[in-house]
Amino acid sequence: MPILASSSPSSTDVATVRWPALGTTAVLRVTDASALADARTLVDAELDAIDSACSRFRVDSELERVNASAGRFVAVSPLFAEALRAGLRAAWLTDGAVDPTLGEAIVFAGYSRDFSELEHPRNARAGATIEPAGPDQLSGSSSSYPIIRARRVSGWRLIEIRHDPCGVRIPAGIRLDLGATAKALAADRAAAAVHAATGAGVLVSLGGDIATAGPPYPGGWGVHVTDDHRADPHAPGQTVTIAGGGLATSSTTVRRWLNDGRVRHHILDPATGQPVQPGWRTATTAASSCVDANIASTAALVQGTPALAWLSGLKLPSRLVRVTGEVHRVAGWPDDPLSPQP
Amino acid sequence: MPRSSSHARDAALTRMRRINRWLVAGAVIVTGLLTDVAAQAFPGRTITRSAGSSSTTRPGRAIPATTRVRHRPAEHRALKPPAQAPQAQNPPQVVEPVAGATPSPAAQTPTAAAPVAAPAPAPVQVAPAPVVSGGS
Repeated sequence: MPILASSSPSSTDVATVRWPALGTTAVLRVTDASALADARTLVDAELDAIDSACSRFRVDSELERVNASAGRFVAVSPLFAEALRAGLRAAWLTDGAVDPTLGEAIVFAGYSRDFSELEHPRNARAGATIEPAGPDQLSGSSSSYPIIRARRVSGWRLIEIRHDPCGVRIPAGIRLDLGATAKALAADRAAAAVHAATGAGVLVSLGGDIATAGPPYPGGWGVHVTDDHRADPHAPGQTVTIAGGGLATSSTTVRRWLNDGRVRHHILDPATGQPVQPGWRTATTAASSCVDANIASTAALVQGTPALAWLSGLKLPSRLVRVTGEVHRVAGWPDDPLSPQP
Repeated sequence: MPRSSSHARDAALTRMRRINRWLVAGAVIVTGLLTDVAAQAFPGRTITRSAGSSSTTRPGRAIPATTRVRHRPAEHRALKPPAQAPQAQNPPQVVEPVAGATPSPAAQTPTAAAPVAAPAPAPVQVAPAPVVSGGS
């Protein structure tokens, strides 16, 4: 059930609504409370459209039709083509660290149905912050794991896209999974649509991936960065303000499940097809858009320590947390006034 | 067989072998040249139909492969930083003056006898709780 709240009696212009969507939580905040109803309608329309195009769990989605037609050209909607282009751009810009063709690998890792239906490790369902698992706990012994099959299913360089009318052909043997970038794209599109229609400043958060458009709340949009988007705003982390653009957080501490007795998470290393060995547990990046922020934060988890130099070179303000809890800030990410600096 | 005829036959066979070698080499070179010419003449590119054309294709329906085009990496723009880096903020939220706030009662009802009251502190507006960004 949606939760509607005017933020405070003296700030009647700002309104916020939260509701479950896309298997996670959507948050909509506008600087003009009178625009909230229209804004919600617009966001719902964007979410329905992206779900219909890119869901892995709907047999009638375009994604599933494309996956079922591997090896053949298939006509798709402009939205699906846009989402796929975003995924391929992510792969290109990260040298494959973010790969939209890991659909087979994620299913192989056990994430084959809606997350709520998976078997969860202890404490994961309650939404509590989970102590990061060690490499052995995450992946088990790799000697018995059929890595060769997982490697075979990555093939983003072989995907073909045609424009006007939109068509897509994926190579036989691979399956698309546009989950992360598609969600971020939906946030960007929803925020832009709300601002264009209402003129209000707007923040859209989908599972903690945040897009903004229009004039921000005075002083900036407040964002609390932590491991889990379902956490309380006072959970361990850092609070910052952003004036625009997007901000995204990726973490290996959430969306974890049990498969064959092993704890798995949803951030896969395309080099192995297995969940990333956790060097960083959480990465947060601010960028000009939610898609760019999502690409960077996800790639950072896959890259490990080299991500520090990569993000710094791209001038993307980022906050990365090691599994030990050690926090690194690069490219202008502000220090936390509440924590002592080295 | 006369000796001269044998020599003539061997010489002819030698010429034939030489000609064959040149023909094979030439064929390879010409094939390479034609391949290069064809690649230059018909590169992979985005096909955009004219504005007046219409499409009756629907999502999910197989379409002819004659117009297939490889996705072009050159279309990818680099990841772009935000116009402004995030700024630190202390939780709980700081308070901020409200622009155009309602004046204080004293300021609303001034009297001629009363001294001009010092401006009351502007009411403050509590910023909304921050949105949480975390893994999902």
